[in-house]
Formats: sequence, structure tokens, C-alpha cells
Amino acid sequence: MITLYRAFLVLLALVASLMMPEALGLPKDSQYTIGPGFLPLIMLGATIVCCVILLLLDLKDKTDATVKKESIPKMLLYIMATGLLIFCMEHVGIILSVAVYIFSIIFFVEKHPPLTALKVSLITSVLIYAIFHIWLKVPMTICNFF
Amino acid sequence: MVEILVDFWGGCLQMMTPYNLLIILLGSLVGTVVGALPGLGPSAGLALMIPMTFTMNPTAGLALLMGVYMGTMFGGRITSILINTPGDAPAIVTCMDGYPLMCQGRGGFALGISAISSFLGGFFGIAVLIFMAPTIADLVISFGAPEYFMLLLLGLCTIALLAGDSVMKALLMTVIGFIIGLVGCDFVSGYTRFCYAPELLEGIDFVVVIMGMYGIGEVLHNVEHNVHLDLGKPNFKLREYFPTRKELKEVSMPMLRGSLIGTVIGILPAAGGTIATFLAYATEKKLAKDSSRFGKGAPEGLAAPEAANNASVGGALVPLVTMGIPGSGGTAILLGVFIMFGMRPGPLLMVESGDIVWAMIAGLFIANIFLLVSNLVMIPVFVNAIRIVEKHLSVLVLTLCCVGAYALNYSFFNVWLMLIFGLFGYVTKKFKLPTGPLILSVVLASSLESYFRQSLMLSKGSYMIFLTRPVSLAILFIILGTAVFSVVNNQIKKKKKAAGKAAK
Repeated sequence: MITLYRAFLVLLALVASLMMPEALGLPKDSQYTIGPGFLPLIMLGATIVCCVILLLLDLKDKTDATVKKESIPKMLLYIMATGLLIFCMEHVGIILSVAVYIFSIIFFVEKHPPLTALKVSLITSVLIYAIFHIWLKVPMTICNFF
Repeated sequence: MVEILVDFWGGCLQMMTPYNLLIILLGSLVGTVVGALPGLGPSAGLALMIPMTFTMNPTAGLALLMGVYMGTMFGGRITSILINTPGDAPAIVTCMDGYPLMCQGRGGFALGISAISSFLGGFFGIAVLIFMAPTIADLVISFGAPEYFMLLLLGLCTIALLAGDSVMKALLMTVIGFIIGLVGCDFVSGYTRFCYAPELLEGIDFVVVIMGMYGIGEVLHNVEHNVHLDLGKPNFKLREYFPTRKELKEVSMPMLRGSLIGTVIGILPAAGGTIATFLAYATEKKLAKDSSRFGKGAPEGLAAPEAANNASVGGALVPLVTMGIPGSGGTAILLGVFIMFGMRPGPLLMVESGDIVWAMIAGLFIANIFLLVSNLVMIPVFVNAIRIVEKHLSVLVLTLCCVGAYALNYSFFNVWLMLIFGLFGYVTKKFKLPTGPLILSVVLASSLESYFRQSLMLSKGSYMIFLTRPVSLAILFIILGTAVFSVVNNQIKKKKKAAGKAAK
């Protein structure tokens, strides 16, 4: 039976297998010492072996891990919103994106009053700007269009 | 002895500037709040605050992180006592006698006695660190590449073999960490490894990995389980936080025993605060004249584990600063921070960067004092801060992670990468895959490969170099001993489990 855990292990083993040709193509040794391909090859091989052993162990004693169905939409919303935040940070501007992101999550997702969302969003954005841009001299754009 | 104290005083003088003191205070306060929040422990606290240190000098950066590290140790107990919800794993034991004291109307006393115990435990651990670190550093200074390699391997093996419930899961995480650590250009041969994007040429920064795994991963876990704290308004009077002389006398020996246990356990790799607190609690219960009081509000059951928890901080730093061996996720992050600041962790750390290491220890000492005072007089402030932050914890942590990952080198590629590691962190938490071994191997991969190369060069390609040098051979035996212990321990656990099932 396919479970989330087993699918994860198969995926890991698959990724390691796909990386294997590159490791095989690297020199395993150089004069008197190991080459750049020595450790990657061992580690990828070990990943595949560990995944297989864990799969076999799981057949004996099944790992019970499920995601709460009622939480999935909220989690997806968080992940997608964070992805959108990163995209907007690059193309729109960091501080503006952060402010809108915080407001949207608190108001639309967490269902807090708009005034609370606005307060938290403004305070956090100002703090981030003050700490990172003014104090730590990290370049933080407010908005790329102005 | 005098030399050690002079060095420590030198570290204190470096920290005695208004800027550094303010940084330590800020780190301590933030650490206390982070430590009290569910799911966020020392590793997450450090991960979230590292971006602030990117542009600081090493002394100030480490001052901030020491404040946070010690602060998280103090913070975990607040929610344990007030609402029976541990802020982190070591605070689980605090619930056992802390919450019953709260129910009896002695919450102020419980918070006070636990703060004093934490301070004394922390003080004991730091004192051991101050006097032991230079002595051990002197012993290991003559080590060569084969010994360094074996030492790093020992650190990696102990955490992989002893951390978590399953050795195989820990091994899987270790090898994955290694692969992540090997990504990028191999600067010895010039070959690139797994560089699927140009941004990966310099490798994957460990900060991106830890922020994703401990920040985003924890948030997703909290969102799934809808974790919320229901903190009431604390109604304690200031004098309630201060125990009487008689009460202090009663808990003085448990505090001392807890401090000793915490320091020793902290020094051992892969043990850490959680084991120390459980062991200290069990010891006090065994030594008590009337053990039936435990679990119903016995002050000793609160004082000893709290002292043990904070003493483990100083203990855990002993192998880290003397040999470059981190014993836990938190100290692995600190090891990465050392590398980030251009220090070379290992036996030469105390020689090459002695002033910074002493300043760091002094920072820990000062943070411990700040935390005692703040945890005695600022509890209402902390509770209010926890209540406000906790309501919007997920969105604030996600924002801080994104901004922090960008601040690393002003690259949005790192922010995307962090999001991917966040998803991976969530999955590993779901499947109970231990994260400590992964972080440790990400941090150690390049050093381990480098020392392995140097060792083989020394022996002109012969692997016998690891067996012919006495220290290297001794460490190899310790590694083998750890492996045997791990296997035997697992077998005993399995048999006990099976016997328990059969008895039911």
C-alpha cells in the first residue's frame, strides 16, 4: 500500500538516482588523495540504500503519518502566498510586498479585524525597514516603481 | 588559572560597550519570547536571528546569538508553568511540578524559583566552560589532519547513532545533509558538483537550510495543527517571584545536582537539554524522602531540571569551542556561524580566534545575568509579548525568514531555496526524521572532505594513516564503541517495548 512516507522515500531514492550519473562522471581520485566524485558517489549510494532499508522496515512496522485534511487548504494558501511574496519582493519591492502580505494573511486567512491587520502590517514593515535597512545597511527597496 | 581569568576578563571588556550590552539584552529578551512560543526552540531562535548578524562584527554578532541561545533556555519554562504547554522539549519536565504549583496559586513562586535555578545552572555550566575549554584546547592543539577528520567523524557518528528513535532515519538525514553540503564548486579540483543553477556555484548556505527547516517547516506544522496558546493575564505581585531564604535553602542541593548533571550531559554529543532535564528530575525523585510529592508541585522537581537545562548550554559549548564538535542542532548552527564569521572551528579556534571566543563566553555570562533580572521583574511584559506575537506567529516568522534569506547576499534565489527547504523541513517533521544530523552534516561536509584529503596526502594515499596514529585510532575505537552501544541500546528498547505490549 502506498503511504505518504513510502512515497517520500521512493522520491528521495529517485532524486539520488537521477543525481548519480553526475557523481559517476566526476573523478574518484586524484594523485594520492580522493577526487571530487568520491564522497558524492558514496553519499548518493548511501541515500539509496537507506531509503530501501527504511522502505523494507516500513513494510514490517508501518509509519503512520497523515496530513489533517481540514488544514490542507490553509497550508496551501500559506505556501502559495509566501511564493507570491517572494515573487513580489523581487518585482514590486520588498517592504510594500511584506506589508501587503502580512495584511492579507491576517485579514483574509486568519480572519482578524482589518484594523488589527493594518496595525501589525505597518508596525512589522516599519520595524523590518528600520532594522535591516537603516541599522544593518541591507538594501531594502520600498517599491520598485517609485 | 590566572591566565584563564585574564582571558575571560578580556572577553568581558570587549562586551562592556553600550552597543554590545544592548545587543545582548535585545537577544535575551527576544530569545525568551521565542523560547516560550510552541515549536520554536533554540535552533529556530538562532536561525531567525542569524540574518541580523550578517553585517555585524563577529563579537557583536555572537553577543546577539548568545543572548538568544540563553534566552530560549529561559523562555521555555514560562508557558510550561502558566498553561502547562512546554515551549520546547526540555521544558516538558517543567510542566510536571511547575503547573501544579501554578494551580495551587504559587505561580509567581514557580516562575521565580525556576528563573533562579536557570541562572545558577547557566552560571555553573559557563564556569565549567571557562575552566575546561582552555585545558582541553591545549591537549588537542597538536592534532593533525587525520585526528581532525576522526574528531569530526566522531561528532557526526554520535549524533547520527544516538539522536532520534531510528538509527536508519538519522543516517538518511546525515547523508542528505552531506549531499547538500557538497553542492557547489570543489575549490581543490575546480570541478562543480550538482550545480543545477549558476547561483549554486558557491554552494548552499547553511543559513538558508536552517531558516527553511526550523522557520518555515515549524510554521507549516503549527498551521496544520492550529497551535494556539490561551494565555491569561498574570496577576502576580513582584514579591511573589522572590522565594524566601528557607525555600531557597531547600532547593539549593537539587539546583547543584541539576547543574552538575546538565553540564556533564551537555558535554556529551547528541544528549542535550532534554535528556539532562529528565535525568535531573529522576535523580531528585529517587533522592527525595517523600517522592509522592513529585508531580504535585514539589519545588525540587522544578529547580533541578531547570538548572540542568541551562547548565547544558555551557557543557555543550565545551566540545564545540575546543574541538569543533557540535553535539546538537543548536550548537551545529553556532558552528556554522563561526565559519560564517571567518573563524576556523576546531582545535585551533582558541588560538586563532581566542579573543572572539572569550568575548562569546563573556556574552553568555552577561546574558545569564540579564535574563535572571528580566525573568524576575518582567514576567508580565513577556506574557503580553508572547500573547501578541503568538496570535500572528506564522505570518511574522514567514516574513522574517523571507527577509532574512534575502539579507544573506541580497539574492532572491536563496529565498526560493529556503521555501523549498521549508517544505522539506515540514515533511521531515511529519515523518519524524531528525533534523540535527542533517544540519550537522551540512555544516561539516566541506571540512570533513578537506581533512580527509589532507590525511591521505600525508600518507601518500594510504588509509592506514587513520590506524597507525594513536589518537586517531583511539577515536576510531570510540566511534565503534558508540555504534555498538547504539545497536545494543536499540535492542534493549525494542525488547522493553515488546515486553510492555505483551504485559498489556
